[in-house]
Amino acid sequence: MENMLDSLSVIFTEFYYWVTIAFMFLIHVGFVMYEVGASRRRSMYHTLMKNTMAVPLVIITFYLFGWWLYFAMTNGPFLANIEDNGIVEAAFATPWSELMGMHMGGEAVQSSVEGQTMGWARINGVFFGAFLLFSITTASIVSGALIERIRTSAFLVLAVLIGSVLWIIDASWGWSSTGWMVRLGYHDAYASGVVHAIAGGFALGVLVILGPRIGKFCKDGSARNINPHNPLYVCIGLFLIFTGFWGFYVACNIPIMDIQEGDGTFFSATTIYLTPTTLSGITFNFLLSLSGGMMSSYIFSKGNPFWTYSGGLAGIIAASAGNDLYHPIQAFLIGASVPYVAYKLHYWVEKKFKIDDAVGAVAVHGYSGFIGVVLAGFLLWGYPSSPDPSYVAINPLTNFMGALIMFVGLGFIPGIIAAYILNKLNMLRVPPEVEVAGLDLSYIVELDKDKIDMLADQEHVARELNILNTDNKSKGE
Amino acid sequence: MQTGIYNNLTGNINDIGPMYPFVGFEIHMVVVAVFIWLYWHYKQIKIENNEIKHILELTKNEKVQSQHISRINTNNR
Repeated sequence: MENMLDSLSVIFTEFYYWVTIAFMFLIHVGFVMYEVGASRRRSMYHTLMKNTMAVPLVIITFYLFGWWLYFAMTNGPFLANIEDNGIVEAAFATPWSELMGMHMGGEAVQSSVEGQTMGWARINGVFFGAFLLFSITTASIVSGALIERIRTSAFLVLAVLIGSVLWIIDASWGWSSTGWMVRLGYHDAYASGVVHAIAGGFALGVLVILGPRIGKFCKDGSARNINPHNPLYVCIGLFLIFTGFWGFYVACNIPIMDIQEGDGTFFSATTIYLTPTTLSGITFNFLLSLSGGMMSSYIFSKGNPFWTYSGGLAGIIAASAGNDLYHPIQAFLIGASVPYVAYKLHYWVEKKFKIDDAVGAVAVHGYSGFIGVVLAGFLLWGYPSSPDPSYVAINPLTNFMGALIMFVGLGFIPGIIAAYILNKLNMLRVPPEVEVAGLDLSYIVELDKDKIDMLADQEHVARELNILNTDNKSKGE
Repeated sequence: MQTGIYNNLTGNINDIGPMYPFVGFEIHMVVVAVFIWLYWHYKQIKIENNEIKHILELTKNEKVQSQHISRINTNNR
């Protein structure tokens, strides 16, 4: 890079995404705290490791095929023969591409990426990282709903499926400047549908097959509350998710781009669809939708901390589809109203279908995301979905169809099918004896044995040092 | 011996492409990564099956029942 201004632009963009990745890791920290806090003591180590191991597995699989899927699948399943036939070539995103590693942007060694090195050498990794953190988020959303009875092995297969295959296909369709749904007017700027609705729908599909935790429902069919073992972990976890969401939001933007068509130049931040937005504007909307969500949730849940925090998250998720364009008060109103609907739906589905969603993930992410996408279709009706004038403008029908594709088509149905197959293989759920005794039982027994041995050793040394009266024996637990 | 495709930085930096060692072996490395990924799932399933088997044995142990399982209803265990 020989031109200082070009270099600054490229290196700024590289650094911008790099920072978003660090922020988004906090989302995962938050999800892990939230889940561990929500689980009971007898299964908390299992819960911790189940969610934690989604991180490395989604990383390696997203490197192996997820990143390529994003660029290759934009034509979708039905429009492939209308234009740009079939799978789009994306050599720079294949795992064997020289651009999937350290590169200075000079002459390509591989002929498949000739002419692409300068553009992708410094952006590929940070783009990959930002999308990867969305992938890990989708897996983590699903994880919370399934705690205390799913096998880790089953969850990790499901995590790869949602994190490195399903969500990235929906992003390719509806969250890309050339996606086939975007060409038809789909708009979901901060991923209400493409991250949250799909993950919520997938979790619901798995829950249908997995079944509730033992003791969740009374004999008369009414549901019991299963209290989190550490409410503070739950609330701090959700606060960390709010913090990480700042990274999530700015990672959905392109930080600097000339958006002026024809003569002249005008540099601005854009959405993933290359339509103009500003960091200032999305800051207003993020904060106001959070405020609306928390205020209304506090009232309708009568000050329940779990639902107040979750309602804040649901408020942001509901407004996210259109937070690139909404007025802050619109974001506030959406943030305030949608969590109430999601809350009511959560308890209705729980009672009607005996669905045990341990952390309310389906409600907070799935229902709120779905409704948010539908609302954006109405509220942003007629806005350009892309700088390309051949694209259909944003409209309610496409957004409604898009929400269905995300929640049902790519979320709920694959979730049911995958869980059904795992269940048939007897790989989905732990045996009831293990669930009741606790998934950490062998670990706890081992820890207690070590503790008793250690106390005995300490007592022995204390006697040798004459600092323990022989009558004053310690009582190992 | 040289594992990379450049060995000095005195030329034009603009000419430098891939910087990692063993350029040309990318597909081999991908095959190794796929194998490790799938093998990891296999090992994890085995470890978990053994763990579940062990817990099932522990649930039949009277000492474990009295010291641990009997306490599951206390202290939100």
